[in-house]
Amino acid sequence: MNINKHAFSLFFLLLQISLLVTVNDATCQSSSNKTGQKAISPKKTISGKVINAANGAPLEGVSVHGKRGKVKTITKADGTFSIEVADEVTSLEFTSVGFETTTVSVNNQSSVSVQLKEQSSDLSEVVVVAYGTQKKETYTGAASTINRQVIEDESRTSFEESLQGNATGVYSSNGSGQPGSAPSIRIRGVGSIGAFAGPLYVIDGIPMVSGDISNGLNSNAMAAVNPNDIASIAVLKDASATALYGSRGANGVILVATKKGKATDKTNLNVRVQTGVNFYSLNGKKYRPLTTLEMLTYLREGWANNPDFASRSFDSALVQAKIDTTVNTNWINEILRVGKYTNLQLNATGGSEKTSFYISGSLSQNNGVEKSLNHQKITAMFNLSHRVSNKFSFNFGLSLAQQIGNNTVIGSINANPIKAMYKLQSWLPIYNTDGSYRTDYYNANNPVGILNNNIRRATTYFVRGFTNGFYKFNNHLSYEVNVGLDFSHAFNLIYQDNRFGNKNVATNGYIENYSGDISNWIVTNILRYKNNFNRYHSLETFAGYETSGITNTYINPSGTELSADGASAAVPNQTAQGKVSSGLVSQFLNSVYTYRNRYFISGSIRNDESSKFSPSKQNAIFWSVGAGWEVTKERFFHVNPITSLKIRGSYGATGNSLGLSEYGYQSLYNTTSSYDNQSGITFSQVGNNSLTWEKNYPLNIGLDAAFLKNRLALVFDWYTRKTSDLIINYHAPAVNGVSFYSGNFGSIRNTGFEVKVVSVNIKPIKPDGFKWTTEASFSTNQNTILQIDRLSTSSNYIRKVGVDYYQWYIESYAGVDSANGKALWFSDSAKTKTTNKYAGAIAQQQGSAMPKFFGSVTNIFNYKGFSLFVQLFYNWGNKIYNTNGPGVSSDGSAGFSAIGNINIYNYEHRWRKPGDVTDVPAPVIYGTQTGLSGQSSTRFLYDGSYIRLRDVMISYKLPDRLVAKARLSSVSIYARANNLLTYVKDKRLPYDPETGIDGTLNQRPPIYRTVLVGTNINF
Amino acid sequence: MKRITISSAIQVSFFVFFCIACNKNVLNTTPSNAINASDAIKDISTTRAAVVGLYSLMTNTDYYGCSAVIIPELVGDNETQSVQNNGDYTSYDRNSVARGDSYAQGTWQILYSVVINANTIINKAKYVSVSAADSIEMRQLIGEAYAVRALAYFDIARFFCFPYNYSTDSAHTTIGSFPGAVIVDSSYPSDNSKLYFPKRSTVAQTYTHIVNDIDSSLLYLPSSGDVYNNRHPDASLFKIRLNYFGVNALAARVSLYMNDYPNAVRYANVVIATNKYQLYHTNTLVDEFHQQAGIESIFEVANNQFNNQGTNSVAYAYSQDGYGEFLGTWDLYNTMTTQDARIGFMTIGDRNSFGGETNVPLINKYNNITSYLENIKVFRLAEMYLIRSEAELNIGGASAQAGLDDLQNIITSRNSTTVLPAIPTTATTLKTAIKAILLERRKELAFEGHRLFDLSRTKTNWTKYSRGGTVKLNRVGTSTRNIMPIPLSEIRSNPLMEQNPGY
Repeated sequence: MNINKHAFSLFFLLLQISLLVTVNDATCQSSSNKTGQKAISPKKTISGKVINAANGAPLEGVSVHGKRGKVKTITKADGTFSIEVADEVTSLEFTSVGFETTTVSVNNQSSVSVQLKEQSSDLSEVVVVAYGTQKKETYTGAASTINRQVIEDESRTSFEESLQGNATGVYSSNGSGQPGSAPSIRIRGVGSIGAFAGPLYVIDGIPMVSGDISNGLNSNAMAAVNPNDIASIAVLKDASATALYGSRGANGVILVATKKGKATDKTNLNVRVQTGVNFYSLNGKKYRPLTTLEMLTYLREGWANNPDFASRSFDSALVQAKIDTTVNTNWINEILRVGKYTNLQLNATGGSEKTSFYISGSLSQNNGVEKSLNHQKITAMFNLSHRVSNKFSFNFGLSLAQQIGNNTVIGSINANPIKAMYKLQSWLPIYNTDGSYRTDYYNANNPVGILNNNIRRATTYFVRGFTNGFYKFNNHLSYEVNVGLDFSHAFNLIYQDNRFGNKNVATNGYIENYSGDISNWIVTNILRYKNNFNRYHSLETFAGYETSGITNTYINPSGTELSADGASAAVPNQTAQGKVSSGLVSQFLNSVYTYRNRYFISGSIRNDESSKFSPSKQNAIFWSVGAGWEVTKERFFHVNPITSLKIRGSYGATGNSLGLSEYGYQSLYNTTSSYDNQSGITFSQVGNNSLTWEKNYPLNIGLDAAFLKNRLALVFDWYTRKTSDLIINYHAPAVNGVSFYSGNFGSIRNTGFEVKVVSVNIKPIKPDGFKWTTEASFSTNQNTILQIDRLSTSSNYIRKVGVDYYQWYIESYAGVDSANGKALWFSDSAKTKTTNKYAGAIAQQQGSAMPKFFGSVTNIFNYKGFSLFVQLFYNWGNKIYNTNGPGVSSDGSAGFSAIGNINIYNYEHRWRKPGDVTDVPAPVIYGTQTGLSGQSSTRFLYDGSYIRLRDVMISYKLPDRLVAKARLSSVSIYARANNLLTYVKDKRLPYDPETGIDGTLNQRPPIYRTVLVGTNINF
Repeated sequence: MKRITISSAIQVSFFVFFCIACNKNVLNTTPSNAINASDAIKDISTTRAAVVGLYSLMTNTDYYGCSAVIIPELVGDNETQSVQNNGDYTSYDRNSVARGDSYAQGTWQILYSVVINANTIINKAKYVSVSAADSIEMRQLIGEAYAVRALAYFDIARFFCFPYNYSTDSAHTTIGSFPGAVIVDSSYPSDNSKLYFPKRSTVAQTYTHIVNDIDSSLLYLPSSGDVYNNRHPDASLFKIRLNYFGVNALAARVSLYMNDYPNAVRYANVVIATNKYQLYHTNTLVDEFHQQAGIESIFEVANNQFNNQGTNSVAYAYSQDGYGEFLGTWDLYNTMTTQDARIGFMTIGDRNSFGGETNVPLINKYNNITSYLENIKVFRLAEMYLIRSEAELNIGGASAQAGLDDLQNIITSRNSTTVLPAIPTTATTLKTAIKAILLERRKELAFEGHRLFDLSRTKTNWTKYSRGGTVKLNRVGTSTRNIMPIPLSEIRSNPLMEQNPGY
C-alpha cells in the first residue's frame, strides 16, 4: 500500500505543477481575448449603486447583466458598479445570493440606483459547498439548502431538528421529549451498520464532533449552536457534493455557515424574546394506566378465569397482598407537567468597508413535560472580518456556549419515572402517612421521590473558534489557510438518594461525576485558481492539504457515603479515566470546468490517511465526477413556460469511518480489571488488520427547472448509492474470548427520489399585497441489504440479503381465540395455522421501520404586515414497535405485582365471553397459557404513518410609521406552535408516532407540543 | 519589486502553516486502558496481571459473582422467587428458560472468556524467560492458569452438558454420544480472519480435558499450598487463589461427579490431611462463614469495597436490604431444627417489599451489601468430608465405615438431625445411605450453588417451588432441561454449534 501512497503524492504534485503551468498560459490567453473583443458593436456605459432594500447597506458582489447580453460585472464593496453594454440594451438584471433577482430599465440613463430585496427561496445563485461556495448554475451535485425562516426563532433546541421536512432526503427524528437531546438523522437512507450512519457536520469549515458528548446523559453538541446565529445550512447528498470530505462524507454532510458582519452605515441591533409552554402530546385515551377500580375489576375477572384460583377467595388474596382499594394514584399527573419555555436573543451587526462584525448572545430555558427535565442554554458569538489590503484579508470567529441539561434515567431501567408511570399500580400510595416517601415497592423506585431528589445533570461547555486568512496573488490565484478548533468540556453530576432505587441502607447516597474534554482541531491550506480561457471556457479549481485530530480525555469517579452536603464521598467506588485520540491527514483537489456557460463538468479527488486503521490500510482515495447541462441556454430550446432547465448527474466514491473505534484494528488486552485490589489484564478485543473504510458509490441524476418566470420551481433528484465493505459487528463464538468482532462484511443499497416544488401561487401586485407561496417536498428511500456475511437477527430485526436494514422480524400475532380468550399466534409462514403456545409461534418479516416516503407541505401567506406560515409534515408506510408493549399487556399474569398495571386499551378490548372478537386476550391471573400471552409479537407492532401540523406561525410586522416614531427600525410580533395537531393512521397506536430511526417506542420522555409568543425588534 | 517581497513573505508564513499541517504524528495513536495484546504475557509482571485478570473474570455477575451461585439453587428445591421481584432469573423460577436466555448467554460467554485467557497464559508463559528468583512464581502462575481452566471447563460441563453419568448403562459407555464443551487450547485469535468456529466435544472428552488440566496444574503448583506474589509467599492470597489444595478440592469434586470414587477419596484426603483447614465452630458457624478467608475455606472468590458486583451481586439478590427477591423454601427450612448450626442462614421474616410474602425463610447466607467484605465460597472443608463420605460408601466394603464416620463428623459438627444410616449391604441400603449424605449436603451447602447438580447427578426427582411457593412444579432428575441452553447467539454465530436436546 505504500507504493499506492507514494503514487498518489506524485500524482498530486504533478497536478499542482500542471496547474501552475496553466496559470501562466491562462493569463496570456485572457489578455489577448480582451483586445480581440473591442471591435464589436456600439456600446454605452452605465454606472450606479446597489443597496439592500431592508437596511440601505451597500451590497457587494451583486452580478449585473445586460438583459439579454452576455456582459456581466460585479458590484464593489461600496455597492457601486460600472458596466459597458451594447447600445440596444434597455434594462439591467441584478442578481445576488439571498436576494430576489431584480430587473431595472435603464433606457437612456447612465446612472441607476437599485434596491435589492432579500429572498427566502432556496433558488439562490450561489450554493455553499465543500471548502467554499460555488455558483449554483455550475453545481453538478445534489444539495438542499434550508430556508432560514424555519430555523430562526424556532423553539427546538437544535437546528438539526428543524431539518425534518425541510430538506429532501433528510430523515430527522428524535423520538424523545428530552429537550436538548440529539435527534437521529439519516441522509438518503441507512448506509452504515457498524459505523455511524449519520452525517458529518461542518460548521465554518470545521468538521465537528456531533451527538452526545456527555457520556450518556444525552447532551447534544449541535444544540450548542444558536439557531439564530446560522446564516445558511446546506445538506450535501451526492458524490459531487461530499467526495471532498473523503472518509467521512459517505452518509452526507451538513454544512453550516454562521452569520458574518456586514458593512452598513448604521449598526443594526436586534432583540428577540420568546415565551411559551410545552404540553405533552400523548394520546391519553389509549396509553393511560388503569385506575384502582378498573384494575381490581380486571384482576377479579382474571382470578375467575384461572381454574387453579377460581375456588379460592379473591378478596382474601387482596388482603394478603395488602392492597388498599381506597388509594387511587394518578401517576401521569404526578410525573408529567406543562413545561415553560423562554428564549432571549440579542445580536448586533455592522462595520465599515474594512472591518465588519457580528456579535450575538442568547439565553434560553426549556422545561420538558416530564417533571425535572429541563435544558438551559447560554450562547455568545463573535465573528469578525477584516481586509488588510485588496489582496489580504482574514476572518475570525469565536463561539461560546454552555448547556445545562437535567434529565432522568431512560429506557427499561426501573429508575425511569416514565416506565413507572406506565406500570405502577394505582393502588400504591406515593407517601407514607407521615409524609415520607413509600419505598416498600418496586425496589424503592418511587418515581416521585426520584424526580424530586435524584440528580442527573450534564453541564457542557463549548468553544468553537476559527481563523482564516486569504491572500489573493492575482485575479486568478489565491491562497487560504484555515485553523479551527472545536473544544468541549462535559461535566456530569449523577446523584442517587439512598432512599430510592438501588437503596442501600448504609451507603448514604451515591455520587458519580464525569469530566470529559474533547479537543477537535483542524488546519487546512488551500490554493485556488480560476480563469476564463476565452469566451467559452472557464475553470475553477483548488487543491488543499489538511491535518486534523480529535482527542477525548475523561475521568469518571464515583463514590458512596456522602458528606452531609452531598459534595464529597467518603468511600470511592471507581475512578475510571482514559484518553482516546485519532488523526487524519488529507490532500484534495477539486475542479469545475464550464463551457459556454451551459456545460459543466466537475471532478474531485481526495486522499485520506487515518490513524483508525492498521499501517498497511491507512490510506484511501475518494473521488467524484459530475456533469451538468443548462438546457435552456441552448438556442434550439425555447419552450415557452420553461424559464430554466438544468440536467445534472454525478458519480463517485466516498467513505465512512465515523463512529469507528479509534483502535479497532488492534488486538487488545484491557488493563482495567482487578481482583482483590490487584490490577489485572484480560483479552478484550480481537484485531483486524484488514479493517478498512466503508466505501460508498453514489449515483445521482437531477433536474432543476423553473417555469413561468420563476413562479414555479422544481428540483428533482434520483439516486442510488451502494455502500460496500460495510463494517458490521458480529457476535463471535464465545470460545474466542470476546463477544464481538468487527470487519468489512457487507454491502447495502439505498435508492430513492426526491422532489421539491416551490410555487408562488399568488404574486402580489403591490409589494405588500397578498402573497401565497407553497413549498412541497417528497422523499423516498428503499434500503436493501445486498450482501451480508451472515444472517443475523437482533432486537426484533432480521438482517439478510434482499431485505432492508430495519426489517421487523417478530412473531405474528393472530388475535384471540373467540371461544376461550386465549392469545393465538401463527405457527406457519403462510399464516394458515394458529397456536396458543407462544413457543410454537414463528417469527416472520413484518415490514420496515423506515418510512416508504416522507416530506412536507409548507404554505406561506403574506399580506401587508401579516404573515402565516403553516407546515405539515408527513411520514408514511413504516411500522413501529412498542418494546414496552409486553410490559403493559401482561393480561393478568403479573398478578398483584406492583408493576402489573396495564393500559386502558387492553382493559377496554379484553376478551370477556365466548364469541367476543377482539385482539386482547382474557385476563388470567398468573397466566395459564404456555408462554405468556403478552410476549413480543405483532400485537405491539403499529403502522407508524402520520401527518402532523409540525410548525405554524402567525406574525405581524408593525407599520413602519409607528415603528419610526419609537425610533426603531422594525418590530414584529408572532405566535408559533410546534406539533400542534397529529393525524395517526393506526387507531390502536397508544403513543406519539415519532420514534427514532429504529422505529421503537420505549418509555422515553413524551414528545411535546410547544406554543409560544415572541417579538423581534430591530433598532 | 516591493510587492513581490511582501507576497513572498506571506507565502513563507503560509508555508509555515503548511508544514505544521504536514506533521504526520497525528497518525500515531495508542490506546489507554488497554495494551496491545502482543505486550501481554511477555514478562513476569504481565503474566501476573493476566492471572489476576482470570480471577477478576470469575467475580463476574454471570459467574461466581451471582449466576453460578443462584441458578443451581433456584432451579433446585432450596430457593424460590418472591412474587414481588426484580425480574432477575425469573425464567429459572418458572422452568421456562428459552434458547435466547440472557443469563445462559452471559455465563457461557464469561466461562469461555476465562478459558481463552487461561489458554494464552498457558501457551505463552512457558516461553517467557524469567530470572531464577521469579521462576517459582512463574511456575505457580502457569499452574493457576491450568487450575482456573479446569474449573471453567468443569462449570461448562455442569451448566451446559449432561452429567457424566447421564447414560443409563452402569458403565456409562454411551457418554461419548452426548455433546460436551467446545474445547480450544489455543491462545486468543490473533486476527478476526483467524477466529475459532469449533464443534462440541463429547462429555467424555470434556472430563478428560478437565482431568488433564488438574494433573498439569498439580505439577506446576507448589505442594506447600503457598501462593507467591512478587517472589514471596503472600498469606493474604492463600484462600482467594486456587492453590495446590484448592486444585485437590476441585479434583475431589470432579472425581465424585465422574463416579470415580477412589480418586475422589484420594484427592479429598490430600485436603483434609493437610490440617491447614478446619471446620467452622458449631456455635459461631454463621459468623465464621461470613468472614473472609474463614478457617474452613479452601478457595473463595474475593469481594471487597472496591471490587464487587454491587447490585448485581448474590448478596444483593439475597438481602432484604437489597433486592431480596430470592427466598428459602419451607421444604429446606423444615429439614433442620432450630438447634442446627446452619438454620441461622435463614431467618423467618417478612419480605421487605409491598405485597410480598410474610413469615417466610429469608436468606442471609450472603448478605453484606454495605462493605461487600464477604467472599463467595467455591470450595470448603465440609464439602471434602461429604465428598469423601459419599465416595467411600460407594466404594463400600472396608471403606463404608470411614464414609459413615465422615458423615457423622459433619452431623456432629453442625448439630444436624440427619439420621446416620447403617452400613449399606445392598443396593437399596446404599441408596438410603447416599440419600442421607445428599440430605446433609443440602443443609450444608444450601444457597452456595450445588443443589441442582447434586439432584441431577444422582437422578433424583424434586419439587420446584415457584413464585414464592404458590406454584409447585414437578421436576425430573433426568430431564434434558436440567442444563442450560446453548445461547442462541452462539448457535447463530457458529454453524457447527450443536444445541442441547432440551431446547
